[in-house]
Amino acid sequence: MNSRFDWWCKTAAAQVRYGPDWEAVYNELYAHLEDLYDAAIDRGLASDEATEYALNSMGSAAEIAPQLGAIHRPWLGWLVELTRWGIYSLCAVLALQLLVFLRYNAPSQSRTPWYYENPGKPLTVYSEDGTWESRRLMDYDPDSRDTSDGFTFDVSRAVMSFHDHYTDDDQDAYYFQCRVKVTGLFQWDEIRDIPIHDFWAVDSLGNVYSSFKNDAYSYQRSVSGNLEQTGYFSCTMDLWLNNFSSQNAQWIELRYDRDGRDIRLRIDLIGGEAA
Amino acid sequence: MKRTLTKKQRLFRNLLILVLLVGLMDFLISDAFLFPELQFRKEERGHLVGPSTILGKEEIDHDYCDSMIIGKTQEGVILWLYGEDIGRTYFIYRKNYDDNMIVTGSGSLGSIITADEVHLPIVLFDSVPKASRAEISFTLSEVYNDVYYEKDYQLEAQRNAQGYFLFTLHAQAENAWEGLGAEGAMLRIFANISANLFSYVQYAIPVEIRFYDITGTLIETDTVTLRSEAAIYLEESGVIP
Repeated sequence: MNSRFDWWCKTAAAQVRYGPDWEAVYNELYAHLEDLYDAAIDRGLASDEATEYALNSMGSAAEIAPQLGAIHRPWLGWLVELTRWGIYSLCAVLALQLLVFLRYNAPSQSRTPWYYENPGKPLTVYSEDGTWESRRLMDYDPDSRDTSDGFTFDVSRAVMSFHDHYTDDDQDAYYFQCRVKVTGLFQWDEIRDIPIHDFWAVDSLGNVYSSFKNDAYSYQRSVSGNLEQTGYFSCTMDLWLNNFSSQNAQWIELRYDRDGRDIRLRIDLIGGEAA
Repeated sequence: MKRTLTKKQRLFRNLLILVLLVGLMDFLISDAFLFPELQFRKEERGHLVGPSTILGKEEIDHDYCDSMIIGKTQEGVILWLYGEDIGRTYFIYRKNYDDNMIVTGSGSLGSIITADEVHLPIVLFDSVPKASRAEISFTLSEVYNDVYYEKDYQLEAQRNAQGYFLFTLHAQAENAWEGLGAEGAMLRIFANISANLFSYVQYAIPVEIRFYDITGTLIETDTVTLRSEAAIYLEESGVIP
């Protein structure tokens, strides 16, 4: 370290008030002085003479200092620093939020109702007291899909079953259940809010099943449902039709029509596997 | 040869990265406090309604929510209540059934009976363009702990710059440690009818409305019945009279 070079560089950089710039300016000036010193030594000058030559070549440090101060404004440097730390902070927040998201939206356990078990095979369940049995009659192949608001609604299962009450024929009834999977990329929070209670249904015979929200009170034909499973970018709704009377219909169609939407999920009742 | 960015170039690059990160935050962070309107749009999509025209944003004092966004669609009105402190959010959608329509800013209000003070926002959407002031009056009643209670309410409001009337029903318990009790039970019904909970289908609360023009002259009166959508549907279907 040449003390005279050090003094010269510090004097020249004195008005550069942004720390990292000061260091870069100091190092560059020092490197220039060293290059001039080496060139002078190569021409045969003695060390003191080479030092003097280098300093004279660079000029007056006091005169250079204001010029360097004018070039290296501190506010630009601090702004770059600020944005750099802003990026670090946002990345930290996003990383934390991602952890929260992964934890909060972890796929929940899905309960499989009896009527969805053993697809395509005969299925009957009996009550413990021996008063009734429920038989799955048909396991349909829904193949029904529609999209709205960036969501895709996919009917993955649809079954019809019959509840046979041995001691009370008035309790015998047909049931219809279906499972709808809703997916939507980048819509994780919103999928939880899908209003399943606003779906209604109609069949080919003209029977109308009102939405659960409208008709849960009177127990007429209506659509009911539960949010059965949630996960990353998807959820599964289990829907069923109350007071089902569409055994002889050719199709059933789930519908949603708020604010101009027209979601239709038609489930053909022709075909499928008799279970 | 390694190319070094100038400070200006680095600043521009950092700002671009910040913009991208903020945009990414919109997907990952549901923060009504930072981005309430964006979160409101998410709520609309999640409820398969709208997109509505945002009529206004109000500061309220209701349950755990201190703000409310009001939107209107071709079919209905939307009240979205949210809280900055606790992060609660309630979403209410009501269809336009009548020319003059009242929507209460409901929520879970699970603690309303034990609360010692409640501020309940009530929004009136009307078809009386000349009205600058409105008064509403109604009577709430309920059997609470086997005792019948009844109370009259009268509220007034000036027309908001956004076109609707915003009333605030303020109820305060006589004894803070006892809570609102019976009045809380009545207010819970009144508040939650607009949330279309089928549990409230049997309730129908007539609300008298008086409209006044800018000179204070009474120009129109009306009576609307605050009912759940389920009640309206069942009545139109002939299931209930």
